[in-house]
Amino acid sequence: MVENGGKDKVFNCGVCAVAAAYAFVTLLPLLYIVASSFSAPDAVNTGRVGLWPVDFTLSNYARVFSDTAILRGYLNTSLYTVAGSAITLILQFTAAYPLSRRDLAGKKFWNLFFVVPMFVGGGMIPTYIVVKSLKMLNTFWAMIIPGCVGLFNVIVIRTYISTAIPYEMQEAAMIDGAGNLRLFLTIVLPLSRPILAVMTLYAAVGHWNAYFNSLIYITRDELFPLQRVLQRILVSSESNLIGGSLGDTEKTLAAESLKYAIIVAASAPILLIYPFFQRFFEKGLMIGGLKG
Amino acid sequence: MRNETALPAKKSGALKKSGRRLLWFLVPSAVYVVVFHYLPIGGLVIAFLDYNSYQGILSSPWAGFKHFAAFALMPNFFTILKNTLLISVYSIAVNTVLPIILALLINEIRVKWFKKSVQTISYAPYFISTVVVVGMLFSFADYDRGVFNAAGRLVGIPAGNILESAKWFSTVYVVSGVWQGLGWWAIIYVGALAGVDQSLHEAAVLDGAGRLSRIRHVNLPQIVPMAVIMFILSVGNALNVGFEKVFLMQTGGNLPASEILSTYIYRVSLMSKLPQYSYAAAIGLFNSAVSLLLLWIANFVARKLGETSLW
Amino acid sequence: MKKRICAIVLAIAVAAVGFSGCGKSKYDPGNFLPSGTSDNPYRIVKNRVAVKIFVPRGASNPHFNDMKMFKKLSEITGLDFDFTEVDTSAYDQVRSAVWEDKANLPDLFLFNNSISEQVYYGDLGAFCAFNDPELVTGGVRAGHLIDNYMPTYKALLENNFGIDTDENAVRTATCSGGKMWSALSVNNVPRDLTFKMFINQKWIENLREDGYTLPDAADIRTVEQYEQVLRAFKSGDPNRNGKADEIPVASRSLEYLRNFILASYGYVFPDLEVKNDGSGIVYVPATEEYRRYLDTMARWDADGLLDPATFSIKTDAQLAQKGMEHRLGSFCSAAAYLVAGMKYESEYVTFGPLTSASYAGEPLQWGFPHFSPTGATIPAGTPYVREIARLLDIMYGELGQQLIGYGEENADWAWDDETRSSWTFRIPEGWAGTQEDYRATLTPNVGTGSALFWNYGFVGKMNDPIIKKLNAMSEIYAPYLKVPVPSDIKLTVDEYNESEQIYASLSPFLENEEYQFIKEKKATQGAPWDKYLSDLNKYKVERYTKIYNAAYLRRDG
Repeated sequence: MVENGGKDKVFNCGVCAVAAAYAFVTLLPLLYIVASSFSAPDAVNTGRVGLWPVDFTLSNYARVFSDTAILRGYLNTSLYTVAGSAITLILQFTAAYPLSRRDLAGKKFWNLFFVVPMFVGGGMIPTYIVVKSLKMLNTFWAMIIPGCVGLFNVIVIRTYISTAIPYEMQEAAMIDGAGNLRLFLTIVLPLSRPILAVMTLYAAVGHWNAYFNSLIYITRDELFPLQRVLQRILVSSESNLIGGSLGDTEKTLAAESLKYAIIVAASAPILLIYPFFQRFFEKGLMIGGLKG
Repeated sequence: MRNETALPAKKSGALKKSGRRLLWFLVPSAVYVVVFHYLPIGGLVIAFLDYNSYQGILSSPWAGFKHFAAFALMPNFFTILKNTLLISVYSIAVNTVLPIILALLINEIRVKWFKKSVQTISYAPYFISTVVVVGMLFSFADYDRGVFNAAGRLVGIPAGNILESAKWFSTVYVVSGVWQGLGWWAIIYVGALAGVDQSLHEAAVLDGAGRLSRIRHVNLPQIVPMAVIMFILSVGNALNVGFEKVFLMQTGGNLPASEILSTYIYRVSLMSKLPQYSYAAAIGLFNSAVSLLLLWIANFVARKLGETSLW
Repeated sequence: MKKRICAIVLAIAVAAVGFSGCGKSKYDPGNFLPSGTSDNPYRIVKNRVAVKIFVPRGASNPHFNDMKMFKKLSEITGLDFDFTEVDTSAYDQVRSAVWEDKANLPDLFLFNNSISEQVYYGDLGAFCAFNDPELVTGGVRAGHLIDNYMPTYKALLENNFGIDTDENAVRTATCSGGKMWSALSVNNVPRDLTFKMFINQKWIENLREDGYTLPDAADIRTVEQYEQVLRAFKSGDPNRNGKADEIPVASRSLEYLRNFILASYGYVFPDLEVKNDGSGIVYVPATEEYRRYLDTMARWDADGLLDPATFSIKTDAQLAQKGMEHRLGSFCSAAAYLVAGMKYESEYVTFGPLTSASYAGEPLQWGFPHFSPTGATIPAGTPYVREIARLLDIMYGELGQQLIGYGEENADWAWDDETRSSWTFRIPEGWAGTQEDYRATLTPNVGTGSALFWNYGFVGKMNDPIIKKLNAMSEIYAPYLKVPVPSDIKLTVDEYNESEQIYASLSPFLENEEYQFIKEKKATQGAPWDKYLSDLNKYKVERYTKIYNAAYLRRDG
């Protein structure tokens, strides 16, 4: 970088101060939530908690992890995330790879075929009726199939493959008799590692945080993903865990601190994972996103 | 680059075949797209029927434009349309400008570890789910126990619940959205800035340009075209995003400001005792038409003002 | 080639066998026992068969097949129950989806049958009418179900279920086309026919010691007296904790409190309601009485009498957070301990209904109807229509009433003596949960409140201190109950359609206007009020009222 002397120091300090302030403001709500989740219910209810736990306790977490609805939500969501991410990745990459090849038969048509639905759609109700007629309502599949292919992501992957992997390399292999599948598995996939990492993170986060499908397509609580369980507790405040209608004094008064523990427990898995993907999504999104 | 016609005839034939066999790859995703994207577009026909579950699509009676008229004549038609547009315009405006500023800021940080830490922190909220973010808002805004009122008390603001207020709804929606997405949306700009040709900076320094003027005259022009594309795309999606969050944030008090087309569709269909699917589909169709119109306008304006546009 | 043909033939054969295997087992009309067997009058079929029943399931309900009630019914009738249980929060959505697959409709929709569905789908032929003398369904000529197979229900209907009320059971059960699409859901238990307002009698006494002059809870007769008590709760320190943390009156989004205060001005419900002189139906939010209610609530909010968080309280648990901190002076709940906890439960007593300076007529309290046509519907096409009719008839009888209330006699409850004037619920020793938790293992009545006949003649004889107290506390409202719109008003399909559409956009509008008037202190006089009235008309209130008035007059004529 080009630097020019003493004025710069002041400028740099200014930049750092603003950036630090921004980072602090971003972290502030999270720190408060973590602190509250480890605090005694009474301290939370009386507003004595700041950025550090008051009357440290693990009882909130003990209660969260003994609630069957939350545990089942965790289990369901884990299944949806694993299976859903696999399907998402397979469909997105098998769509993107041919689109990236300049010798694809009817390439113009196929590009249009995938781009048009990005801007035109049937909307909530016609889609609901399709899912309903496929008998998918209240099934495992309703959580992972509808919406599993991000068309924008397909275009991003296509762009990445066509710019980052020289076509000549594939051509050479073809002349040596390699079939499409082998090309895809041995040349294209290994070379698309950054975009694969980004897309895996995207898919996993998307499925972990998925709520919409469960709202529209799932009505049986055995199939509820974690987010739907959370919605009942955090947004609608309706759950036996936080007092329900049973008249249990202790439970009722612990509701707030419990909510904070639930927020931490539900978000921690992804917050702990994403930093490891950071270098990929900075790189992957750049190359894929520019032309997309 | 190699010339295809220069290949031996047999090999070129193999290549051609390979291009056709490639279609097999597309089968799963094409089936998916047909079923979950094109089929619902066809399903919009129910907007013109009196569709009911008992008779099904094939034998439900024809209704013509009845449902469109019913929606347009509804007393709160304009309120819903206004809310939808206001929330979209507000978020698009903020979400187009702020990430650029953040990216320019991050780009100026010279201490590597610090830069990296700020970036890592900036992404964190993006990975928190909408449900949890709205849950946080409800907890913070709680009248008796919320941190907002506790903070308000310190500076003498009268207690209240911002989630109940129609006046504050769009601001709460946008500000919480910025908190969540700012760092993430800045990524591609940060990447673009890292790729700015150093010779441009060197030339500017020779011309006696300071840091601020270099940001303005060297860095900013580099990312504006990208920002225009992002802007057009977000306008195209303006009416389709936000359902989850708006729906979750709705309360009796903020409904005059928080009822948007998509939540209204949900309310009259899946939330209703006897779902009015046709009416809901008609509103959905209207929603899509407005979306396309907005996209076209945004693209038109971008083309008139500068060189960048989608088509 | 030959091999291939063989394979195809084989595949078709296998498929054909598979299909026939999957098909419905054939209905055997001879298996049905119209009047039981000599030793078991409850037996419905000779050989056990399964019937499909679609039911709403609340969060606190176990699976229906595990409930004592259905185990017992299955045992004595010979029917196996194949339940489709649907979460109550998503019930309507799932219910509407069920109709798509006509080959797999249930044999019975038990509880939660919406009137709109009956109005819309009844004429399309979706349901078996209970009173169709020519009923043929699923190849079975059943005829008049009530006359032929439901003697208990028939007798109850003719006798208005023994309930002394203006409501008419037969008229309520009959749809506008003269058909009874649904069997009735009947309730005559006072504690479940209205809501209960509680006030803290102990606080009143504490304040008297401090020099306030206040009426006892039982002597609060007018809304003005009530306000006087609330003001004292606010200015004094009735909970004796030295902090000004008392909330004089709290409510979950004004639910019920609204009806309670509105009633003191002369109407009980913020929608359509019959005028007190019976001359017609009025849209209450457009009346002077409603304006007075808004004024009062706005004043209470401004003066800190009304919980400032009222509009953001969505569940009883949130209300209970304050109740269990001993901060609530007055609230509405099914029982005081649910909100105040066992520790403070005894301080609260019910009071009301109230009148006011501007309304000195007979006190009024919002009452729920005794009869509603929501109990049970039979989808057209089922051959098991007679079996279902018998099953329902048993559920209306004494045995059914007991099972859905508290389980089986001598196992789950027992009469205290020969006079049968009271009985005691038997909760097994060592049961860890509450009484309601245990009752949930017996019947679906817990949480969803569903029953075909919730009969005070049995339910009211329960020998339990808390329930007895609750029964007594509820009786103060019994003479004053008013059902806003009689449940036997019948609309045609078109009228129904139109009024539902008006209501759908009107009710969120009204909800918000109420918020504006109370919380944001929009003036209830002059231009803002006139604007509000004219807005109501834009939402077609006049038309809405007219539709119901016409139906109301038809009913009397």
